[in-house]
Amino acid sequence: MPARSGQQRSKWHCNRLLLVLLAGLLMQPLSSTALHGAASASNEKHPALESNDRLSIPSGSYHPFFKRTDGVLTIPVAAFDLDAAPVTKSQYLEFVRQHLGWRKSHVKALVAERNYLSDWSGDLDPGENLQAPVTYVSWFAARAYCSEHGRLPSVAEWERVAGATQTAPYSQDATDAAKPFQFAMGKLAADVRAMPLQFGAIWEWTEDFNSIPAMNSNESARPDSPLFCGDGFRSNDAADYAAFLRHSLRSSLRASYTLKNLGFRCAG
Amino acid sequence: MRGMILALRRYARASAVFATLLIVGAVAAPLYFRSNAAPAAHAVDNSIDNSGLSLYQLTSTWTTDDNRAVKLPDLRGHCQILALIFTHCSGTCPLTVKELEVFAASLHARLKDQTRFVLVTIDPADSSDDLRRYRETMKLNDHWMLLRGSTDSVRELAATLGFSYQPQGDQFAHSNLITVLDAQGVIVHQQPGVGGNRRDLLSAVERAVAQPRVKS
Repeated sequence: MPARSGQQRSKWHCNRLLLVLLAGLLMQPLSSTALHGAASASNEKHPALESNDRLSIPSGSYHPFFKRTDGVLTIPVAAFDLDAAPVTKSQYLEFVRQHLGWRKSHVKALVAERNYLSDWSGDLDPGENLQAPVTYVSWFAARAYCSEHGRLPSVAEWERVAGATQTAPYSQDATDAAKPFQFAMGKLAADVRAMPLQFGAIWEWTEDFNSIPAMNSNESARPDSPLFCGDGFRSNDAADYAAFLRHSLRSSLRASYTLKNLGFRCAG
Repeated sequence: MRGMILALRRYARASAVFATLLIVGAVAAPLYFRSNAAPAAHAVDNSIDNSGLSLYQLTSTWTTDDNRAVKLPDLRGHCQILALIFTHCSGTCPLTVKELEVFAASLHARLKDQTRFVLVTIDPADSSDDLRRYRETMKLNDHWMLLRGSTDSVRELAATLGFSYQPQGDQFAHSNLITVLDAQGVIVHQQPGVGGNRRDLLSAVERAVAQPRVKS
């Protein structure tokens, strides 16, 4: 019995952590000042940067923060091309102009929940700030867009570029009510830090976001419970809280979900 | 007396309002319900679901163990029980398949006739021959369809179902998930594949076949 209560307690802990995370995600306003801040800071360094610039990322490696069952700690990542910045509302507008099925009044429930493009006032009206990243888009939508411009990056590719372990104390970011999870939205790896890559304003979809099953052989009766709380993970770096947050977010997503601060960029 | 007349009048007025409401309701309700119900009936006729939730909207192409090309809408018309596996899986997949076989055998003739099983391999290395051998090894009859598809198609189907997987060595780390689809391809039930509840599965199948069948 003590073992069981311990398991329950850890499950509760995990669920509560995720609830806090999700609550934060849902309630956090997508701060346009933060976006402007990120963009302008980057633009000062790289005045010529366009959001549809695609950069060549050299081969490298990805160190998952959890231990896989086969003990692999480092995953090689081949060289690939990646958009410098997330897809903007203006770019997505062009896409929905071309594709009737991806307009908010036409989209099917299978591929996007009701919140899809909920900050747009009409099928072809994204409202203000056309250069902001498009959000409230499902994985299906991101994938459809990227299939015309390449593809979505994989988790390994995304993490290889922007999953550098945070070394600064988290409290600096965490106490800022406007952007409690900003520190987890991407930090450039040392070897690409000089490249004009923009990360940190939104969470981003990846092709294989659904690649990490909860390794619980003793799954409970509720089919969704293992989706929300994997209790079989052993961490490689318990201090890499940002990686844990990204992992939690990815494993809690379904492909039709559309969140206020979840967008995407394409790879090639 | 005067009080009584007032009360009667009030009653008359109230019942007039009530009668009006009744009449309006009687006229409006069929209109209202028809506006909701008609598309459903229409949708059945055209073999398209009304909810926009049918899996059969996915346009991916699949290959069977006897090398036939199949699209998901081809599965329309039966209750489909779907599981993702790979043929050299030494972990939970054989258990899931065995469990479904026991379940299939336990179905009454009426349900058995309306229920089909689909196993989709998540391993891009599985060939049609591998699937055919799997059919033989697991003794699967013609109510079972075995499919393989491109990496993209598998990732899309898995994401749609909420199934997670990742290659690890020559195996996969993966969810264990059984999905029940109605005749239009809408998910009516999902449960963990191993140690799942057979009674829940049965009631899901009963719900799925209770939907109007599509003539194919």
